[in-house]
Formats: sequence, C-alpha cells, structure tokens
Amino acid sequence: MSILNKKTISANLVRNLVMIIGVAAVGLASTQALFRDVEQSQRGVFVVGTLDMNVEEPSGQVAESIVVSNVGESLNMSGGKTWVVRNIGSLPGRLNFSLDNIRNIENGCNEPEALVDATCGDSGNEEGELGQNIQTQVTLTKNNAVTQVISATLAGDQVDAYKEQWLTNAGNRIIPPGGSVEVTFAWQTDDYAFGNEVQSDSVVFDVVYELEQVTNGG
Amino acid sequence: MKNEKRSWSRFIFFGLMALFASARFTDADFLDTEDLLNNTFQALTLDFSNLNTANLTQKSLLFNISGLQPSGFGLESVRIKQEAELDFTYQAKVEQTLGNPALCQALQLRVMRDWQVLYEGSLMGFSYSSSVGSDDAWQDLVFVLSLPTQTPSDLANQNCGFNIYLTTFSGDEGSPFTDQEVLTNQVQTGSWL
Repeated sequence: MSILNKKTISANLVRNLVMIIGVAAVGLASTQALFRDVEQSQRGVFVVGTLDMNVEEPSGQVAESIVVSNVGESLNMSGGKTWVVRNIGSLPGRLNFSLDNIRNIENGCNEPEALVDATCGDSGNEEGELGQNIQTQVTLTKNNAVTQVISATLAGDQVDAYKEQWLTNAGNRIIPPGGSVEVTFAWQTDDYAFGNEVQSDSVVFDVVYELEQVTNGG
Repeated sequence: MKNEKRSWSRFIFFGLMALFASARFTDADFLDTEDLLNNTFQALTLDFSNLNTANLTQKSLLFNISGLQPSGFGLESVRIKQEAELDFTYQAKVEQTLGNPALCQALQLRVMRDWQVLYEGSLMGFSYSSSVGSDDAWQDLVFVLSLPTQTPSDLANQNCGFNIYLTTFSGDEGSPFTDQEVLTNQVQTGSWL
C-alpha cells in the first residue's frame, strides 16, 4: 500500500468516528426523558401556638379562694378544696403550683389570749400562731390516680417548702392541650393542736398556678 | 479614637456571633398565671366577763361580809356576759382559799336565775353548769349566802375565804379555747352566845 492510500484511510476513519459521536449525541439528547414533579402549597401560613389555662371548680364554675372562718368552733378541723386546672391552649404546658404571700396575723387580742401570748398585741404579719398549727397536703388526681405532692404547714416560712416539694414531686407535670388535672388542697389540725394563743388570729395566702410552655429544650 | 470604636464594634459583633452560635434553642416561653388571692383561715374568739348587775362594770369580788350572825344572810348578784363570738358552756365551782374550814362547810348557798332556784345546799358543795350564747348573751345569777340558825358558837369570830371559779368547757364537745373568771369572797362571823 502506498503512503497516499494510508493517509486517505486514516482521514476516513476520523470522519466516521466524528459522525458516529455526533449522531449518538443527537440521539441521546432527543431521547432523554426528564422526570419532574412540583407540589405547591396553596396556603403557606405560620401559626403561633397558644398557651392558656383555666382554673375551675369541679362543677365548672370559676375557681374560688378558700375561706374558713370558724377555726376554734370545735376541737379540731379538717377540710379540702379541689380545683381543676385545664389547658385550653394549643401548646402543652408544664404546671407549677405554689403558695405565696403567707401572712399570719394576730388581729388584736382578748383577755384569754393575752394571758398566754405576750405578742398578741403586735400587728406584725408573722405574729399570728394559726398557720403553724394547720397542716396542709396538696395532691394531684389524674385518671383516678392520686399523687401526694406537698405536705407543709401554713407558717410564713413554708413558702419555699411548697415550691421545693412541688418541684421534686411534680416538677414534670405536663398538661397536653385540652388536658386537665385536679389539684386538691387539704387541711387539718390535731386535737388540742392549739389553744387560746390563736384566738382571733388569721392566716392569709395566695395560691398561684403557672402553666409554662414546654420547649424542645425541656 | 477611631481604632477604639472599631475594636468595640468588633468585640460586640463577635460576641453576638458567639452567642448565636452557642444557642441551641431560643427560649421564648409562653407562660400563663392564675392567682387565687387571699385564701383565709380565721380563728373565732371566746371570752366572757363577770359584771356588776347594777352598773355593768367588771366584778371580781362577790361577797365581803363581816359580822355574820346565825340566821343572817347576804345577797349578791353577777351578770355572766358573753364577750366574744363563740357560745360557751361554763361550770361554776367553789374552792376555799383561807380561814376555818368548818365555817366554810357550815355556810349555805342558794343560787337563783330569773327567780328560779338553781342550787340550794352547802357552799362547798356548789357545782353548777349552764350555757351562754345564741339566744341569751348573758345570764344574771343571784347568790344568797347564809349562816344556819343553829350554828355553834365555836364558829363565832371566824373567817372563811373562798373563790367561785367559772370555767368554760373545752374538749370533745367544745372549742379548744377556754376562759375562766374568778369571783373572790370573804366572810367573817360576828360573836354570839
């Protein structure tokens, strides 16, 4: 074979190769099926959740405070008050319970009290002796299961005891949206727990419920 | 001056960046609070007083007799008045405080209320209980203290001191509160043949 023929054959081979590649490229491009799907949300809305609670009487009426005005009528006393705490928001919440602002007041003194209580004429908030003689218990009821949470007196220095015992025994009490829990506050005195030193005394306090949003962080 | 401003800006910028980078969650919690205010426990009161039935002043001395003779008598009264909220039941008892026990034993006592005789007998045996309150906030009691006609002469020129204790009941049926009032008494006999 001459040198001229060899060059001609090589040129043809290159041309054919280019044509094959070109045809293949066109073929691939024309047969490629691109799958694609698109979903579009018609109403993209950010909704802020709500946190709200109701404290009610078991009958559904608005919760009332405790009023016991006959201490001393009998040798001892006992009683209780139940509130239903309902989460009416859209977010779960952690329930906190505390007593605040406990005030033991003397309210003056009469002759029998003055004989046994030298400070009954003082007007200070912590002069009264009634609260220290009243033992209280706080229990939670959920699905008929009763849990005792707090045991303390109504002495003025017991505010922290209520907070700490709640934290220890019910600190993780979560109420889901629409859920509820019953909180019972019971009180009692022992026979002869007190005498003339509590005549006319009173103890006044606030009950505080808090529903705190439960975040991812806990 | 400019450099100082710039370094402060950098410090604040990088500080904020570090804060944001370290924050796992933003803690914008919602919180709802419900307060039940002024929960109250209130103690009642119990108190009574002995009053002079004429002028309603405090009375602590009932009989103060001197020269008492056989067949002689003295008459006194007291108003037992409720001074506080609680009704009460009281008990009256006598205890000798001084003098000749024989004279105290010889003395006779009659107690009346609304002209009804509540007690009649020896002074030292006197015991009486009653309730005050509800309908009646007080009771007027009349005491007649006498020396019998046949009292022997060895009780002449003798003394008898005694107290009448009025004490409210406490316990199973009543209040833990109590009150006690005392009526002091002094009797001195005269001389006779």
